[in-house]
Amino acid sequence: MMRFFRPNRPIWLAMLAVVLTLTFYARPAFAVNPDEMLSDPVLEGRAREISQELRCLVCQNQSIDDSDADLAHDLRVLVRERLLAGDSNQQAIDYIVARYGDYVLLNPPLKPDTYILWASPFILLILAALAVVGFYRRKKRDGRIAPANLTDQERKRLDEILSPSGD
Amino acid sequence: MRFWIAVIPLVLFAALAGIFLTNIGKDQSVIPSALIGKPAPEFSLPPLPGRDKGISRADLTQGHVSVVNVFASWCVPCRAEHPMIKRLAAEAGVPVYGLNYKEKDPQDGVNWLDELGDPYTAVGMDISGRTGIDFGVYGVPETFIIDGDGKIAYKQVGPIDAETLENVLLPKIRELKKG
Amino acid sequence: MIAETGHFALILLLMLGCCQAVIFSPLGVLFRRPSLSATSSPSLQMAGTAGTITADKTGWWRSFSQAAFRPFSSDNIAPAPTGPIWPLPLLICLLAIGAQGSLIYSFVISDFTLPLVTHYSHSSTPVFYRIAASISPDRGATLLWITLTSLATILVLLQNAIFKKSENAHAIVGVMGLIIALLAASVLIDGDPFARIGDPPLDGQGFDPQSQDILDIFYSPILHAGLAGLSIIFAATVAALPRARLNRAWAEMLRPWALLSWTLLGAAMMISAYRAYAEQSWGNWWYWDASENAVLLPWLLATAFLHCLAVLEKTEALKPWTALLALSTFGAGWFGTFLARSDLLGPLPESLRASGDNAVLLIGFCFLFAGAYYLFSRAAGHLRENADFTLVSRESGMFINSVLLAVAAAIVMIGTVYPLFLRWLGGTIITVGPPFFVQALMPVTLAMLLLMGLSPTLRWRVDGAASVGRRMKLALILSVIVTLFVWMRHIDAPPLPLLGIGLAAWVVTAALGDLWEKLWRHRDHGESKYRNIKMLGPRYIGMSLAHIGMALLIAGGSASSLWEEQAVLSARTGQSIEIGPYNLQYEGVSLLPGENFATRKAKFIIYRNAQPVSELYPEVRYYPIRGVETKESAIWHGRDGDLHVSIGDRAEDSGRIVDVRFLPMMPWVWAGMLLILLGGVINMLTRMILLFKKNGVSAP
Repeated sequence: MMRFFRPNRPIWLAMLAVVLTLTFYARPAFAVNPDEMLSDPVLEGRAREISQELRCLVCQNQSIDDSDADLAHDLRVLVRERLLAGDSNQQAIDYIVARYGDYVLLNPPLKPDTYILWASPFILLILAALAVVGFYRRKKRDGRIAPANLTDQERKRLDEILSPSGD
Repeated sequence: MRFWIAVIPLVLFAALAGIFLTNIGKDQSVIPSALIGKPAPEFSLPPLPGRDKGISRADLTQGHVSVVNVFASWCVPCRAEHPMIKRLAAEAGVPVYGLNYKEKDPQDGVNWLDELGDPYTAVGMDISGRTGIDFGVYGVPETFIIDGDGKIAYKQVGPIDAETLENVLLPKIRELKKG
Repeated sequence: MIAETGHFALILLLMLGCCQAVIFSPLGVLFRRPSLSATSSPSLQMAGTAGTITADKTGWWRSFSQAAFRPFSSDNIAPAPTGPIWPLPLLICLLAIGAQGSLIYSFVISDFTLPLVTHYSHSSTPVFYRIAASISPDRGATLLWITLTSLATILVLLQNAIFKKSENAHAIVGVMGLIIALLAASVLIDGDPFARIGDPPLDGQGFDPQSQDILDIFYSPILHAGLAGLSIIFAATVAALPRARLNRAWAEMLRPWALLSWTLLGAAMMISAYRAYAEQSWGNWWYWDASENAVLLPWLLATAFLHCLAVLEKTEALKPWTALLALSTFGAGWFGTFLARSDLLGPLPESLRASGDNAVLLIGFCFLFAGAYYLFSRAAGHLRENADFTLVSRESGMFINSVLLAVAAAIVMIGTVYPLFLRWLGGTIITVGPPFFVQALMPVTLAMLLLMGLSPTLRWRVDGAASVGRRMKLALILSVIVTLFVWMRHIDAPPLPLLGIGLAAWVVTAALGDLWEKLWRHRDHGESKYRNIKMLGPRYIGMSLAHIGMALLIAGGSASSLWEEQAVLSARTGQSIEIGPYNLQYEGVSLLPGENFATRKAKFIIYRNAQPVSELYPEVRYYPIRGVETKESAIWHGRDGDLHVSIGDRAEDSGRIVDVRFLPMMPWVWAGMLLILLGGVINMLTRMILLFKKNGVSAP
């Protein structure tokens, strides 16, 4: 037999993959369905907002709002029920997270595990800024900088030399 | 200085590559349960048609270890797993409860058990799938080991094979039974 | 038999690739013993390594290690080898085409003794999609990557023969051989596409219905052509590094390749965005999943590289940074492809389920990239800089923007692999979804847009802040007015899309202002404005198009997210649905047979001001082979927005579930993407024409 699935991977995982495909993709379904929508447009709007932040567990980076999967449908209905029961948005989200863990949050929560993740844009930007500043300082120190204060005459001459080629 | 510029990124790079290489082939689709160590959810499920006993949380808090197996007649791996559930029920010496997940027709579950045999102490019917969500079920079959206090001690995602049964589930149950 | 031929060709290809790598190796310049004339080089004697040169009897390893750890000098390197350069690459290219052809043939005749064919094809799959199945998913795609890489080698040799001779041609061919050999090893070891099984199934499992679309077919060839282009960039850089000859000639040679792969990667992203928009979802067009990020990463770095390359070509500045970008662009392309095909980040999509674990692909990547980085770190201090520009100058604008692009790429990278690390470290299992990427990339993107408007108007080398302010005053005022205008009309709009629209306006007004300045203000360059247009140069036009395209993309994306209108309802035949400025009339569903599917096709008539404008036919297809349903939305690009219609099941009240969206300004997004591509194409074509005209004369 060929390596359809990796040999070191137990066969049930392969079967799990198959069943996930069969159960969650094959069923004719539709992301947000008129039957499940709430009649109150404000509540429905909030439900949509919440659904867009929750991950469909069996899909790739799709929210339950976008997903056709069966479980996503159940979760959407659940969210609406929680809202009808008077939950706030956060309470409804917490209700789902309590059952499925942080994995369902498309927006990773800020906690010690994700400090590095959330800090990374700032750290990278600061590092980049330092590198750029360092580059210009080094350049200045090495004295490889062109004189900046030209007279108008000189600037015009420079324009003539430099700008015709565009770009 | 120049030496370090050359070496540090390469070392980092080798470390990253090592992580990737060691993680290749490990399935990343299994999401550990958020409920491990937490009390099993409050629930009460009706019995299958023609039977008299459903399951509820009270069944799980009797002071002894119990197992909850989520299954459905439409789920292909459940069928493959079924003999292992029979073994589990016979060998573990703890009650094994069945949670029949989202049948289209309640009769389907009964037919399935009639055909393959019924190892379960009792079976509850979860037509809406709500109890399944409370348990954090995202793909059947799933199996939960509940300790004597009704806390979820372990969760197995996907079908149980002989190896998982012998090396993971049974030892875990034995350990919990000892206390 | 055909498959065996292909298999044999692939094995031969692997061996020849290795030969090519060894014979033309750029490492040769490291461990080939320096020529006699080098002995007299003062730098060598100063370095105290003269002894190594006379050590003729030592083994090759000794001389290699001595060379590798010898202090760097561009003198102590022997000249590149001479001799016939064509036969090996040509042979490899022919073999690759042969292997590819035999795989395609096996798919076309539905040879189910090949598990790969069984997995991705079926006797009912139309021939066109059988061919697609042979080049799109995993193994076939890697084979295509090899074929295109070997074609790129031929092209680079042609470029070398027709235009200016590169001093590194041999080394480039050597590195390309290495890349091809590694890819071939990956194909053969990770999962052999030509392997056969004894008892073949009667029929296959069918082509992935999600990919059964004309556009999707082009995705794989375009993406891999882009990756092949990146490998030329990588090879040329590695070839130039041992002698630290990253000069103007190097930049000139690479410029068409950089443009080519940048355009192709952009086209691949556009296809995947449009397909997601039409198939997977509801007006969403970017999910930030692994396969999308795998293309976005190299594209971001290629954009940065392209800008730095322009600076280098003009002023011979920023050499180490450009070299690093060249290496990491290719690295990101390779690594992204690996990530998208491995199951490290989660279960694989249907189209990749049969792939192996790609360990060889990863090891090959590590090997290549670590080696290249070593060469880079060795040469970095010796790349003579001519950084003759001030803080306020065109070079600075492009340099800082390239740094920002690299930061953006790093953020995308971290976001993509972070869940894996956390899992590995035993932390919680998290998802890094679109909200993270949007928030994390926001500051970088805003800064980039700001610079994107500013830097094309700056002068090369030296510019004064005051004069820049004077020139940009009008653009600044205009873009503020646009932002205020939008804000007044939608007072409750969230700030982020508003800022996006404002900055897009800034980029466009700045580009137009600059054009106006160049055309009509600079009278001293010519008598008529037409002469000025000529002097703008095609590169300026390409650049402006790409920038304006980017601005349109941002503005369209922001606006459509702001003003999207949506209706989900259960519709009955004849029902009229009002959405945005349009009225849709639902005309019912008919069940029709397709090539290898059955489809429920709905008909909608679009009315605007009670006048019929067009018709839309969204479908739900059922593919019996895989038992999968797919939704094919119908999209109409109106002048003020996209109408996005999809249908679903029958509702409980026996109506048909219909999802209708109006996404205002969404056509701007598609037009913007097209403009970016067009900019790249124009720039590349004129570049080629220019090169042909000059025919080997280097640019002044």
